[in-house]
Amino acid sequence: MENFIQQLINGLVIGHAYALIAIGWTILLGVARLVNFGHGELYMLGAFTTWWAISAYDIPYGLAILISMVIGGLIGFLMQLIMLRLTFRKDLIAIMIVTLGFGKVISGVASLLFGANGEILQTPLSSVDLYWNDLWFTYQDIAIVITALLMYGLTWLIIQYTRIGRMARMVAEDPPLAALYGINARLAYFLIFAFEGVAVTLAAAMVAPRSPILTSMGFDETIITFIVVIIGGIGNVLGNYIAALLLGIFIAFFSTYISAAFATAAAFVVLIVLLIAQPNRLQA
Amino acid sequence: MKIMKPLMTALLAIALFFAPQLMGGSNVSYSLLVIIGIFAILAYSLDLVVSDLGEVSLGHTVFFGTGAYTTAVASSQFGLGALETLMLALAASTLVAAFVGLITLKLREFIFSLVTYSLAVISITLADNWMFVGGTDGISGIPPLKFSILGLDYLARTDQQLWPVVYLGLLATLYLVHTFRRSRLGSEAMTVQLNTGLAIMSGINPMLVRMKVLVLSAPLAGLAGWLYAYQRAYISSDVFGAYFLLIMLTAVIMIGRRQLLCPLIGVALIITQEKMFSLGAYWDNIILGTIIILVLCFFPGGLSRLFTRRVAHT
Amino acid sequence: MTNGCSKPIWGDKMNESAANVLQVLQLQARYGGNLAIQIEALNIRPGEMVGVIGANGAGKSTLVNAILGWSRGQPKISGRIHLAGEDISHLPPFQRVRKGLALVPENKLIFDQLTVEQNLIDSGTTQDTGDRRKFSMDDIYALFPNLKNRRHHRGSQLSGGERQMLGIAHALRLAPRALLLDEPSIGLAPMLVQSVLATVRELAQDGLAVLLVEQNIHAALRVTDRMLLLERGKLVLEGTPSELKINPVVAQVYLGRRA
Repeated sequence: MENFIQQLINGLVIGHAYALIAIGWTILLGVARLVNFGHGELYMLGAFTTWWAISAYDIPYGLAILISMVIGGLIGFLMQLIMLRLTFRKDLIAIMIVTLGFGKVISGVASLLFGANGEILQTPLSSVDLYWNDLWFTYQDIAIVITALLMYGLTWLIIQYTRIGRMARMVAEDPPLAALYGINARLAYFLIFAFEGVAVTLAAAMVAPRSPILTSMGFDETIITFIVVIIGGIGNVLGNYIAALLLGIFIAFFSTYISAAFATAAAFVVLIVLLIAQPNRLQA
Repeated sequence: MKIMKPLMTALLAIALFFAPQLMGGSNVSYSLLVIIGIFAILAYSLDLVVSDLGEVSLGHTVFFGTGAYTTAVASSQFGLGALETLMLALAASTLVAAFVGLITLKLREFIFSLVTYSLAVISITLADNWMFVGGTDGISGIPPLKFSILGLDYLARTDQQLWPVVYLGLLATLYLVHTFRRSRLGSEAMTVQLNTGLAIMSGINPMLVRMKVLVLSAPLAGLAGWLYAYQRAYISSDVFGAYFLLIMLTAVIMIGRRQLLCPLIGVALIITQEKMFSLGAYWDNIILGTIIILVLCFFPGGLSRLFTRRVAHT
Repeated sequence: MTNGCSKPIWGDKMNESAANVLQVLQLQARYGGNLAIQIEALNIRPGEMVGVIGANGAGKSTLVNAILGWSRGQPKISGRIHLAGEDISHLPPFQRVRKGLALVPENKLIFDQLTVEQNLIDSGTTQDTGDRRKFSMDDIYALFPNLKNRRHHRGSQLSGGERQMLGIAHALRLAPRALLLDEPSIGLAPMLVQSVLATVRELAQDGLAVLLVEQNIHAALRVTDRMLLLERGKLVLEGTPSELKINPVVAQVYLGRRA
């Protein structure tokens, strides 16, 4: 029974981690109708800049996170700047490929800067184990859950109740019409891409301490994000949260009781089955 | 003179067969051109989907890997000859493509790309964990390519001996792509890409066209896999991975779209840089990524537009 | 094409520029090789309600879209647009809007996913409105009581008439100097059309410059001060409503009366 609850907790933590990783992507896709296939490499970069700040410069964890987030935001902004023409042509195919290219550049640069060794992102939170009866987790796990809840809560509130949120929804629904409403859609795209960069680096800073990080990490690590975004509904904040939790629990239980190696593959099989059964559910 | 073009093409085809010798005839030149040939065939399989159909399949490595693994297993574990393994590789990759086509039948483009990518990831997991195909160790010690036709044996132990097979495969690929583009399916694919609404109103079913193009492109990737298995003599799950995807993709978009020789030129440039002028794997990644960004953001028609613009000005 | 009662459009010179709210000069829009509209000059004074009529395909939508530099297609636009004496020709559409040029397009003119209130609330906070007349939410709801009743309903739940009202209401929230309306009568019952256009007419009488593009000539005749006939992208006729009504060409082709 303890093992079941332990796996449930594990699953919930993993789920919140997935949620954190996915939020930038789902907003980018839902509001700006843009994709970023360099998402995984940005995650890797976020993990490594945090690690670098802490281990090379002794910068406190909190500050290191902020620095990473700023770098993430800048890179997101830069990517959109370079891709601007493609964004306006709404050339999703080209955007897919270009962001893949960006990912490879980031991957190469990070490998040159940080080397090929696996590193551990050690934080004051991850090094402390907590025990409650026979259950085990760390402060980092709690931090992940809290951060995810905060991010989702904030994002949802902003979208529903603020002016920026309304502007984002207008740009999402009809970018030319948004111009007639006096909205600068170009600026909106920049901000949203920067948000994606900020969100994924925050996620990395919070989640990466859970396992060793490598500069070869990339798409495959965050590919699980797809499942969250597609099942949860593109741009649907609440849906993404729930989908992430379900996915986390699924992965935790599948890994423990059936097979750890096939857990991700199994999740994808589930996704594919769902897509075949209900392809229309996923119209953005 | 109508006979000029086919005649010139035939002469060029014959001349290029001797390219390795023209480059000095060393092992290095044979190896280089063999790899270029194999990757070019692979690139063409993606070219059909990206340039003609206008969709991004991130899963073509699945067809490539299927061909490679089929060849590896059939030859090293069942001792089959090259012709048999070729048939099996082509059949296997085509079947897999049919399966993929069915799964993705109703998905729109973007989701199609995600699903194809996830299939590649699933393939890696499968290959790594299935003992029959060697797990993470893969299959090594693949016997050299050997086939018998009409009592004559052909054995390809070195790249030099493999070259004619590769070259023939490349010519066949070029011919197939060329024919496809003039075929009905080829124009249907273009119509679907340029104006889906019009396509539907003309009675074309875009989903079906996508599936057909996928199934047509797969044996090319399977052929490349077959050749690669013999060339490298060792196959593991990396054949499903991003390295091959990235080269395919860059080559297809780099020089120009939907022009017969562009993927070949792209592959030649990329592989030459990697084999002859490499600064390390990390720099290779950076270079490929930068090429993609430059081409797509600033030269959307491919680098060849640089030259046509100049020509237009003079 | 012309008779003694209406004058062809070559008037509207630059020396009248001080009085004009909206000046359009040498406006051209091309789709591919096709010249969709070619306007020498089109000027509107404060408080003037100008109607542009024409058959389907004459280029009415293209005209108002081009004045905004806006489109759902990709025409090549050239020409000069002056708003209250300022040259806005090089500004992107969203900036022209912020300067006081509002367009209510046809078809998709409001956001379906947002409520009436949400469609309206933000536009009133555009900065830099200066001396332009502002409309508060209360002002808007006073003008369009129907919208007040439906304020928390989503755009997708509104009727055609309510959508049109919301479109115009939203444009007013932008504190426009000039308001362009693209075929507001489409799909609306005649009574509703009259009521909507009457409201706009009152606003014009308060000083708003209005350009009304319409296929429904009867409705346009009733509320405009001056009318222009657009044919194959060019303004070929100008006059008061009564002048145009008796113009034999207009009468025959568009009003269905035998000459």
